[in-house]
Amino acid sequence: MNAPLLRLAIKSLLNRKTTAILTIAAIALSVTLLLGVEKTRVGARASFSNTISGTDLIVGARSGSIQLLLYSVFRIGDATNNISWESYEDIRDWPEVAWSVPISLGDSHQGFRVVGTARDYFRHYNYGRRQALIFGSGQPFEDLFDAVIGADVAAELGYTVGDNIVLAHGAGAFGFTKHADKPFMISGIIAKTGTPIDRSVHVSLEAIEAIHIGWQDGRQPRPGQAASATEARSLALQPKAVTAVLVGLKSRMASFAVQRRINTYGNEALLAILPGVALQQLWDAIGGAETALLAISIMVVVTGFMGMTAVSLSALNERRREMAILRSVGARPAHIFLLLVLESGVLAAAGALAGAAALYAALCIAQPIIQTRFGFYLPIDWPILWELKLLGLTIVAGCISGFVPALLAYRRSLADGMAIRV
Amino acid sequence: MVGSRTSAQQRPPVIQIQDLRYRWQAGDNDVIAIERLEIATGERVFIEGPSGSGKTTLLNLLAGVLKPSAGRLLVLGADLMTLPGTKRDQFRSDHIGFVFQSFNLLPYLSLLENVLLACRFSRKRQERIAAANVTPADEAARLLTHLGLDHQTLAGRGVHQLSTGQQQRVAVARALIGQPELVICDEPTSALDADARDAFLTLLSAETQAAGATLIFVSHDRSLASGFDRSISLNAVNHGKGSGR
Repeated sequence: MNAPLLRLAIKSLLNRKTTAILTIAAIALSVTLLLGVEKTRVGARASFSNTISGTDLIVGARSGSIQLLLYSVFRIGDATNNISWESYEDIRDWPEVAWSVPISLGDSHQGFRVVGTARDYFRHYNYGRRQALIFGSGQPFEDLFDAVIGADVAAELGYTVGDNIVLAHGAGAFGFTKHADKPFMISGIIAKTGTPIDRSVHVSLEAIEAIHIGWQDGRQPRPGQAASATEARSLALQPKAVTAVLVGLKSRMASFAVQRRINTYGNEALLAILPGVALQQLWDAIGGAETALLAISIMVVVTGFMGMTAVSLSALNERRREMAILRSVGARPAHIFLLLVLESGVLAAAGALAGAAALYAALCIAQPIIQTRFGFYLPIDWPILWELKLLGLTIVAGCISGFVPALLAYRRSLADGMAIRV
Repeated sequence: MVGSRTSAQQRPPVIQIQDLRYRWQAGDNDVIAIERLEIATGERVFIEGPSGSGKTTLLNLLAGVLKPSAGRLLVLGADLMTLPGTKRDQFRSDHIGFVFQSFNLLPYLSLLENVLLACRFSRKRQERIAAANVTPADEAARLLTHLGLDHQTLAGRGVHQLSTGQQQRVAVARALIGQPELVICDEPTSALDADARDAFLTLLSAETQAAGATLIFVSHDRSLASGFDRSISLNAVNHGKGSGR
């Protein structure tokens, strides 16, 4: 008996197309919001925890642990201070330290951050489940003016190995001053990782020194003080400072001891963070906001259903004749109840599906923007079980909100019978 | 007319009423209080009553939508006093065809679907059609054709584009499909003009007779009574106060 009633419900809704479509649109929007918030939450969390692995400590100048994590790993924001090369060398030689990779930030190329680092970076930087970086083409930098770019940099700017690029001073989307006198050649492109590596340009620490010869406090060198690219090759290019150091330990057991030792380092105010802990802290910091966001989007879904219920209730008076006709051909009051619940269910299901479809469409558009602006890679996957559950819950909630008009129609059809009072 | 009445009364009654009472709430006055009323199988009965005489209430009782407050009400031998609500609904869909005053059709269903709606809730009607070796759609088409409606030409049109007379005839087809034993009409002609009314009455009479159904026709318009086997004045048989509505 349900299938014919469902068909009746759908036909009845089609008869009231305008209100039905508006109701579906309202529900779809709210579902898009709900799923979007949920997907962002899950995606951001996965993206976070996948960004770096295998690194036991990140060392930077003393600031906040989240700030250090943001600029050293996510390339968001800037360091307030540097680590002196002497401190780096000291820590590098500690017996607990298995490997260490210094990084130097501050320049950019077409909005992509430039990372000055050592060749060891490509060996030791892991992401996801201890995946190493793989070169899609080319190889690590060899020459002083070689650069290794991430997959997104290559894709968005159309670069291939052998192309020449010019770095800009500063980290804006449009660098103010360019290191035009010292162009770099792309030596390699790293295969897609889904991490901020994809959006980074890697050069050697010496190259960072070379392009800044004669620069003072971020100002371009005065005429006569600059060195040409060829001259730079013959100069001593030992960096005086680096922005941060990625450290791998021989034993993870030593993490806390080494961290304490760095945090209480006498010669310089340093900060060491455990990436996993800092990621968790960062997550906790924004997680609360996201819970609030989730609550708000649930409220929006509820509002959508209240709108649907109101529309359904207001149409009920005009539909008394419809109910009387159905009663006259033998429909029970229970059928009337079910009919109205099914109508709400159909609206909710259509809204939920349209909302999910809209979300995926929006994701396709927003994914690159989110990655550019926030460095999060939102994977466009099939809905996970939890999202399917959310969709299911939405439809169930829609049916339940249909109980209100359904109950009223039920009671009326008991009282009215086949009498049509219009 | 007298003769047909006598012969009709020799067959078992479709409706047997004894001391039937109905009131909206305990303590209210009776809306319906009928001592005795019998309608025989195959009879075509005209029940005349002005508005407020309890017509609609009586029809709702006969159709099993309302449950009598007291007395005895047998329809086709079934005691509607004791049948529970869902059984009364099932009984109605299986055995009673209903035609309202106007706007009988669901606007979102096609002509054919409106007729077939009567089969949706009744397996008995489906079985009776199947027993005649035709499909429900064929049977609906046959009835519509009999009632002077070429459903193939009208099929493309929305139900609301039909004239009132055409709509009423579709409603008759719906009432008759699957051969229910009883057809109840509640002022089906009041929205029709004189010509359409006469044509409708002739068709209704012929078709219910062809289907072997008993016809109960309720109206305030005494002038329609002439075409029926028997005429009953509701005011004369109902000692209740009527609906008063």
